[in-house]
Parts: sequence; structure tokens; C-alpha cells
Amino acid sequence: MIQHSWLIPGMPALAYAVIVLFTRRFKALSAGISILAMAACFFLSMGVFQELAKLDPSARTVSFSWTWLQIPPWEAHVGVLIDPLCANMLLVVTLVSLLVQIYSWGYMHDDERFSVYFSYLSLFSASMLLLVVANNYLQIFIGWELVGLCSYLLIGFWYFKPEAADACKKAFVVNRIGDMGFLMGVITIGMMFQTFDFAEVQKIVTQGLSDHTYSTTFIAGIALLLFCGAVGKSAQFPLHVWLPDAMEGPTPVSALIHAATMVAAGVYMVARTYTLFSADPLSMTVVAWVGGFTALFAATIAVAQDDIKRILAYSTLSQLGYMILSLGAGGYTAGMFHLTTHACFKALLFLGSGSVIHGLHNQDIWKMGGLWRKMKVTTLTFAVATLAIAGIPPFAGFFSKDAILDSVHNSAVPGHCVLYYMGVFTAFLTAFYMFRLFFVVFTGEPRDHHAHDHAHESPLNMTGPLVVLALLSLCVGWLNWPGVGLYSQFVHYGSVPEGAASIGVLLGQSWPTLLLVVAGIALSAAFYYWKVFSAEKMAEKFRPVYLLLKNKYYFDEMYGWLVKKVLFGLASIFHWFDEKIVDDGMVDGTGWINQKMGGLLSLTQTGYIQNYAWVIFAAVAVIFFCVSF
Amino acid sequence: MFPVQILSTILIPFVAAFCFFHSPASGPNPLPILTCFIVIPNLAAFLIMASPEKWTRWISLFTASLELGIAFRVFTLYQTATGGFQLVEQVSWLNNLGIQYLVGVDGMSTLMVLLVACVYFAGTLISWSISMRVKEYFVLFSLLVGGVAGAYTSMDLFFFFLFYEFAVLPMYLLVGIWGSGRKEYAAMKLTLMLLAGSAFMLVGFLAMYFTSHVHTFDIRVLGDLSQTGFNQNFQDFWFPLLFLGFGVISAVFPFHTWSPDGYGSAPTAASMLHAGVLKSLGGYSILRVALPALPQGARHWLPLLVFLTIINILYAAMVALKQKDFKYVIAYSSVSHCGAILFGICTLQVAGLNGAVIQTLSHGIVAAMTFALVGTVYGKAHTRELAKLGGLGAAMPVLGGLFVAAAMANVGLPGLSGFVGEFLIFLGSYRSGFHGGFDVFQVLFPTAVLAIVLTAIYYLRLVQIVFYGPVKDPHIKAEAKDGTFIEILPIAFLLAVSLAVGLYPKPFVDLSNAAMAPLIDHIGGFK
Amino acid sequence: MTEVPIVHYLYLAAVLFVIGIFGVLARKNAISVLMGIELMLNAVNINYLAFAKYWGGGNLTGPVFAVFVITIAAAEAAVALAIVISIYRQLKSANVDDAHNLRG
Repeated sequence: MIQHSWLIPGMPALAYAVIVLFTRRFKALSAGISILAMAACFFLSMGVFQELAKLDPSARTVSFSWTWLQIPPWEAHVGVLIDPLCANMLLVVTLVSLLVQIYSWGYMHDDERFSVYFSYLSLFSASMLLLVVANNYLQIFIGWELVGLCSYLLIGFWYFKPEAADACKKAFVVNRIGDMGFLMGVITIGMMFQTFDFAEVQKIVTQGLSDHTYSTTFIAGIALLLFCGAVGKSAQFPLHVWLPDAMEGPTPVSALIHAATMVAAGVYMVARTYTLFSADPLSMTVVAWVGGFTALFAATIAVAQDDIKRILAYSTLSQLGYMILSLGAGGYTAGMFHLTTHACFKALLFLGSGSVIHGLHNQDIWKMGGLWRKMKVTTLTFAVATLAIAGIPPFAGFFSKDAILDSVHNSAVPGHCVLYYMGVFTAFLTAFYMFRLFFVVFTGEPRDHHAHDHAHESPLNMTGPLVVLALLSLCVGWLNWPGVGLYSQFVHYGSVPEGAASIGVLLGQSWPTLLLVVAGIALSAAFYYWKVFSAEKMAEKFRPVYLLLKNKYYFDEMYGWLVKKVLFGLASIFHWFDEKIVDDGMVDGTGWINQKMGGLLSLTQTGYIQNYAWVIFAAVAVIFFCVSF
Repeated sequence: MFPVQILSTILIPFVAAFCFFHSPASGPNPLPILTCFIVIPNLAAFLIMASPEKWTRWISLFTASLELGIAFRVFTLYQTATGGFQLVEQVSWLNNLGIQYLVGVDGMSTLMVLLVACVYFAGTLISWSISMRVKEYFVLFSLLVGGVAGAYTSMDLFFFFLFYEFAVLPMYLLVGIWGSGRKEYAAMKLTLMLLAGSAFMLVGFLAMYFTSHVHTFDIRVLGDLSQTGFNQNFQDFWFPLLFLGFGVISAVFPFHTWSPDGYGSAPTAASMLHAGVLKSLGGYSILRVALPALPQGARHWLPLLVFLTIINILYAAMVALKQKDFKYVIAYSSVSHCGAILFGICTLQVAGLNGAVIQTLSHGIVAAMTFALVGTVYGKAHTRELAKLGGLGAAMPVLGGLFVAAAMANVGLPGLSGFVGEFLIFLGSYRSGFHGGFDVFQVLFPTAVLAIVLTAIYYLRLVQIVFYGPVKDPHIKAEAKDGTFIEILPIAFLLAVSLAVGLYPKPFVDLSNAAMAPLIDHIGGFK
Repeated sequence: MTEVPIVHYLYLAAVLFVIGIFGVLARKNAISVLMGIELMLNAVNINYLAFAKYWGGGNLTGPVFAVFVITIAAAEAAVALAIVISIYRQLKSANVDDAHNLRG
């Protein structure tokens, strides 16, 4: 099975080509091809996983490659690297992609560009899987850029909406800023180590560090360049601004790309290149602090948002922050595990919100309310996901989030105590804002009766994936059951798995967090379910804070100013210089000088033939005079 | 039946030309392949003059397909393992002056031959809609191609120069007669600046000719002479002049302003050919003539001249941000990309030089594709003012999609050709071929990489303004329709070429490296 | 009978030549200007013949040249007169100062 794993990115790519070239006119056929390719990918991934699991734990790395371009002695490859990390990611990506594609069949049913939509989804899956199976830095960069393209196309899928047109451009450009760093990192690796291959770089770096060929600071520098890419793609502070705007795309896209898979690519990349990151405490510290700060920062913003998808977007930012924090703190397994569980419940949350939007044609949570009467399945599954993300046992989020906090607690990163409390507080905020969302949307009385009357449960092809994901959100966490730790034994950095704490130790450690989470839920219920306190009054009382959060700390305004005033201001100066100095001044100036000089000389051309004759004779006379004397 | 006629006019000559020529190993070819490549467009020009106007387009298309077949054959015939100049044809012409008709291809010019044929083919199809003075147009167009085809295959500087001038002059008429806007001004500016550049070039050639004592224009001999024939002072004096002379052709700052005005006014196919093929000649000639003949001069000057090229990259990108005309943005983007080509050359590093060659190929294909798109959209919307365009995506989804693809190729997205070139150039600039002392590239490398963000900004701005959002001008909406078969075909063809280079660059890089690796050894650059 | 010394011929030619120059430079009528030119040419012819006779030693190069000059002068006169007629038709004047369209 493993030797055919190149088919995993290959099949969706083929599906893309077939849809674009041949079946654009046939909606059902296009969707069918796309879904079929994805299902095949999923089963292939299962096969790969199974085969890998059968291997001896020390031999669970299979890699093969082809030459892509060659400037002897230097070569670049495309290839496949199957190891537990990859197998894990393959399963996540193919499964969520498959479910989202099935869901999309229902969700996008009335769209005119249905086939195009599916072709983009296929292209996305292909590029994402290319990135996942990559065995070298160049290939991961290629996949990375291609998922960026798909993200651009899908955010801008409804390109006629000005907001969508703005959002897709913003996403691409902000990602490019991060990618600039990534590219420099990749090039540095290529030039310094003369190879892009993960395994070889790992070997060279380990070797070089031990005999001091390379300083740890140098390796940390490379790691931080690579991390720039992760900051862009995983929307970490300060490049987080694109992700909330990306919600202009169709909701299934938000679920697939901007929650479950693509944005996790940054985390995956850091895990993939962990050798470089773990070489020096500096890079680990930066990673941990960026992650921890983003987690808290985004959670505070999420508290004050009104748009159902934006709340989820900020929660995604916050959860991605957790993962990055975990990797920075040394919790490799915990971070990847959270990525896996998060993919399930965040996809579920988005698809659930999609179901709500599909029913109501509205995204403002203050126009919803009491939806549980109309949408039983959606409500139930959404509740499961909310519990999972809040981290209530035995739902998936509990296990992974707890493992992260645990690893931060035990980490050696400077300031890990602060990071730990930031993480705990974020857990509290998460519980609060997620239940705020849940209570406002699904419980109580309908706020907009007109919309409510039209609301209906979604069709089976939409609720089906919801149920599957709900089951996963419940069960996936058990893979890493305390004391057993199947997952920890499978995915780990280095040769020794991180030890799995027993359930007693786990509960002993995590009860304060759990308590805070419950408090968060209770507070949320007090505000939005029982309405003991009034949220409006609170907002009024702390108006500056509320405004600050509601306006996302004014980051969009700041970047807007930077682009409009600084960048375009500079561009105006350059433009002026080009037009006036270079073109009008130097180029046309040369022409002007020539013209004027010609004008002066032309004064001698009187047009009177006898003047010319005079000159001729005078000249002859002068020459004669000169020659003879 | 129209598509069938078109396709058969394309396929039959393509296959015929491809099969007619074979490897020299299996017996001599009945006709010299490169001479055919140069002569056929010129013959076509005469044929078009002599035949009725309704045949003009078909003859032209037939010729272009023939050329494509030949170029593809040259591409398959070149042996990268052997390297050097191959398929050489030599006829002595003015023996006592040391001028000979000497054509041949190395890895780099093989790619350029392919580029010329691709752009010629696409340009012919795009010109299908020309309705004014059709015959004259296609005659000049064919002559232009004949000129560049000769320039890219000549190994003798005299003929190189001759063919180059041959190509520039038809361009003057093409812009001046079939152009739009301030066409006379643009045509004059373009031609005068290019000729000024070529004056430098000619003087440089003559200087080498007279200094060498061998009195030859053969670039192989001049390259061999570089160590013994040309002393350090000579090289230091002439290298920058030659570089700037060639640089004008590649629109190096501050001699770039012919490019936006010229492309802005030129008819679509002329912009395509100029941006795609003629402009690339600057970088090509530096690699072909200046570096091999004056290596010490290059090592001395390039660390300074590189600043001009970096200005080109970033400055043109910034200026592109503020343009108000659709085509001007593309023109400035082309200036910026050509800056990247020259920047790659300045690294004097094997990856950088290879990157420059691949970027030349890629820029040729992609710029031609972008200009073809702009021309087609202009033909439907009847305006190029960005303030009036908007929301065209709904009316022309296929063209919109292709434009996004073209934009991405310009932006340097992996999978399309632009990435390969840019990546190799950046790779080369990471560590340049200059040993010892402070390496300017430590500063320039991150600066150059900044271009990938700026390019993304201005191209996506363009996509957004023209194709996304609601329709701004209802008048345009009523008239705008999606591209027809004959309009889509050339664009799709160029996209396919770009995809081929982007997806599997190995054969192309092998070709360019067959020429670049010996060059780097010769200059003593860095591997 | 003593021979006329060569200097006399040369004087004559010089006088003729200067008269010709005067005609070309000072006269305004195009025909007069042309006549000036003819005088100059003939002055040269006299020189040719004189030199041929005294110092030519039987060599016929000088007379042949003179014949050529006469021929060319005839051709030139034909062309020039044609131009003068054209100018006259255009401008209704044979004054050379009226034909100054080429002024820069």
C-alpha cells in the first residue's frame, strides 16, 4: 500500500484536471468524480496507516523520491515520506475532506458554479496531501503555496461580493508575507546543506551541532525563518488578520480549509521540521510565546463577536495558538494530538454553523435563537462539539488540551508558568464564548420570527457528516486514554514516546482547569441562558474594553493604514519619480535637448541658396589659405 | 467547422515539420534545420505579399505551426550530455573580414528557440482579429519573427547584430500603425531607445573585434580569447557599456521607460512578441556575449551593477501598484521580472544563472500570455482604464480564470513556470560567486525576496479590480462576452507550456545547465 | 610671332572664375546664377586646356577632362533649368531668394 501512496495526492489532482477540462457542464458528475477520488484517497490512507502500524516502531519511516530538477551536484526531489506523523495527518485530511465534500453536495446544491467549486476542492485536497506526504523542504513549500492558491480561490468563490474579493486578496497577501520568510528558510537550507531532504537535513544538523560546524543560533535562525511561514498559514499573531475575513468563503470551505486542515499546516510543518526548532531554546521560546499569546489574544476577541462564523474563526486562531504553544513547549505529541481532535470538532462546529446558515440565510447570532426546536440533529451535534472544544471529559478536547497544558507546565521554556496560566485562562474564555454562542443560537426564544419560521433541518447529506464528526469528537480523545496512550506511542518525536500520565495523575493536575471551564460555562449560562446578568449592561459598563475587543484591537485598521498610507504612499512617490524624473526628465529630456540643439543648428539653414554658396566659397578659401601657407 | 480547420492547419505542419527533420546521427538532414527555422518566417512574409488577402492568416498560422514543429524538434535533438554548440551550420561570407554565417544552438538557445516558436504561434492566433491592413501586418510580423529567430541562433556577432536590427524595425511599424493611444510617440521612443542600446552593443562588438587581433566575430573564439586577448583594463572599460547596452533591451533601470509606453500602445501580438521574445534578448546576450568574452570585467562590475537590477525588481513593482491602465501594470510587471533575470545573472552563481535562463523562458511565455489576455479583454470591454473595469468575471468566466492563472504564474506560484525561475534565482542570490570581502548579496537576497509579496499585491489588486466585485459599468456588461475558441486557444496553449515547465522542470533545467555549468567554470563563478 | 605666355590664360580664367562667383553669389535671378556657374566651369576648362598645351607634353588627359566638363555642364544645365522652370511655375518667380522653403 505504502508504495502507492503517491496516488494519494495524485488522485484528487487528476479529479481536478478532469473536472476543469471535461465535466464542467455536468454538475452531478463533477461532484461524483471529486467525492469518489477523495473516498479512494481515504481508503488508501487507511491502508497506509494499517501497513505502517504493522511495522516495527523503529522502522516506521518509508521514503522514496524522484528527481524534479537537477543542477549537478545539487538536486531537488519530489517524493513521499510516510511516517506516523504523516499517516496521522493523511487520515485527518482525507477524512475531513471526504465529509466536507459530501456535505458540500447538499450545501452548494443551488450554486451555478457547482462543478468549479468541486474542482477547487479537489485541487485543494491534492495540494494539501502533496504537502503532507512531502519528504523535503522544497516540496512542502510547493504544497504550501498551492494550498494558499486554493484558499484564495475558495475564499473568493463568490467573487462578485466585494467583501469576498477583498478577503481573498488579503488572505493571499498576508500568507505571502509569511511565505517570504519560509522561502528564505528553505533556500538557506538548500544552500547550506546542499539538500532539501528532511532526513538528510536532520542528519547534517545533528552532526553539525555535535561537532560545532553550525552554531545553534544559526539553526535557530533557520527555524525562525520557517516559522514565519507557519505564522502566516496558521494565522498566528501578528499575521492572524486574514483568517477571520476568510469566512467570506462558503461555509464548508471554512470548515475544511480555514479550520480543520490547511491552517493546521503550519503546525504540521513545525512538527515536521522539529529537529531545527528543538536545536536551540531561542526558537522554542519564540514559538511557544507566539502560540500562547495568540491563544489568549484570539479568545478575548471571540468573546465580543456577533457573527457566528467569526466567533468560530477566532476560536480557530486560539486553538491553533494552543497547538503552536504546545510544540514550542516541547509537547510534540500533545500538539499533534490537539490538531487531530481539533480537526474533528472544529469541522463539526463549522459544518453545524453551515447548517444553521443554510436554514436561516443569516450569520448574525442575535437574529437566531431557539433553533433546537427546528434543527434537532444540528443542535445535538453542535452541543457535542462545543463540549469537546471547551474540554469537558470525556470529549476529545479534554484529552488533547489537557495534554498541552501538562506539557507547558513541565516545559523548560522561559516563562512557562506564565504561559501555563495564559493557557488555563484561555480554556476558561473558550468555554465562555463557545457556550455563549451555543446558548444564543440554539436555546431561548427566536429573535427573528420571520427567519425562524423558514428555518428547517438540513438534508441527509449534510446531517450525515455532522453525525460522523460528532461521534469522532466524542471518541477520538480516547485514543490517548490516560495510562494507555495509543496515540502517544504512535506519534512522537525522537525514539522514545512521551510517557502517558495515568488517569489519577491527570485528574490531579487538571482539576483547576476543569473547574475554571465549568465556571466559564456557568458564567455563560448566567448571562445568556438564565439571563441573571445582562450582557448589554456589562458591555455598557466596560465600553472601552468592549469596543476594543469588538474591533479586534484595531488590527485591521492598523494594517489598513500601513497598506493605504505607507505602501501606497511610497508607491505614489515612486510613480511620481518614474513619471516625472525618469520619463519626463531623463528620457524625454534627452529628446528635448536634442531637439533644441537641432533648433539652434537649424538657424544656419536659411533656405537662401546664396548663403550656402557663400559658406562654400568662404570655406574653400579658408582651406586654400590654410593649405598654402 | 471552423475549429477543425484551425486545428488541422496547426497539427499537419507541426507533425510534418517534426517528422521531416531527424537526428544527424541517422544521416544528414535534407535541409539545415536552423537555417530553415530562420528562413521560413521570412519566406512566409514574401508568400503573404504575393497571395490574396483571404489566405494571409492561414499562411501565417501554417508557418507558425511549422516553426513550432521545428523548434520542438530542435528541443528533442539537443544532447544535454554532450553540451556545447550543436546543429552548427557554417558558411563563410566575408572571409577577409572574418564574418561568417554561423548558426547553432547550445542549451540556452534551444530554450529560446522553443520560446520564439511558442510566442510566434500564440501571437499569430491572437492576431486573427486584426482587420486593418491585414497583409502588411502579417508580413511585418513574420519578418520580426525571422529577425529574432536569427538573433537567438547566431553564433557570429555580426549576424547577431544584423538579425537584432532586423527585428527592431518591423516593431516600429507595428506599434506605429496598428497601435493604440499615443502610438507614434511610443513607437518612436521604443525604437530610439532600443537603437541607442544597440549602438553601445555595436561599438562593444567592434572593440572586441579589433582588440582581439584574430579579427573574428565568432563568439566561441571570443570566449577563448577572454583570458589572453582582452586585458583587465579593456574588460573593465567595456563590460559595463555592453551590460547597459544589452540592459536597455531588457529595460534595465533607468532605461526602462520605453517598455510601459511601448507595450501600452503596441497591438496585442506585438506586445506579446516584444515582451516575450525581443526583451529577453538583453539577458540572453549578456550570457551569450558579455560574460564569456569579458569575465574579469564581469567579476569587477557585477557587484555594482546588481543594484540597478534590484531597483528594477522592486521599483517597477512599486510603480505597478499605482498604474491606472490595465496594460501598464503588466508592462511594469514585465520590467520587474526582467530585473529578476538580470539579478540572477549578477549573482554569477550556477543556480542563479540557470534561474535567469529559466526565468527568461518563463517570463517570455507568461508575459505573452498576460498580454494576450489583456488584449482580448480590451477587445471586449473597449477600455483599459482600471477605473472603468470591474466585475468582468461574471461575463467572461473562462478568461477570468485564465487571467487568475496568468497572474499566479507571474506571482511565481509553484506548478507554473515562474516559480522555477524565481526560486533558482533566489537560491543563487543566497550566496553569490564573489569570493572574499563583503558580499552584497547578504543584503540583496532578502530584499529581492520581498518581490514575491509586492508582485502578489499588484497582481491580485488587478484581478480584483478587473474581474471581481460587482460590475461597475453596465455598458461594458452588455457587450462583454467570454472568449471564443480562437481567442482561448493561444492563451491555453501558453498556459500549458508554463504548466509543463512548472510541473516538471528537469528537462528544461538540464538544457540550461548544459550551457551554464561550463560558463560558470569559464568565469570562475560559484557552484 | 611670340607665343602667348601661360599666365595670360590663367589671368583670363581667374577673371572669368571670379565673375562666375560674383554671378552665383550676388545675382538674384536663378538664370543668372546658372550662368555664373557656367562661367566658372568654363574658367576651369580654360585652365585645363592651357596646362595641357604648355605642360601636357602631348598628353590628352586635360582636353578629355574639358570635354567631360562640358558634357556634364550641359546635363547640369538641363536639370537646373528644369528645376528653375518648376520653381517658376510654383512661385511665379525666378528669384532664388523666393525659394527658401528649406529654411530650418
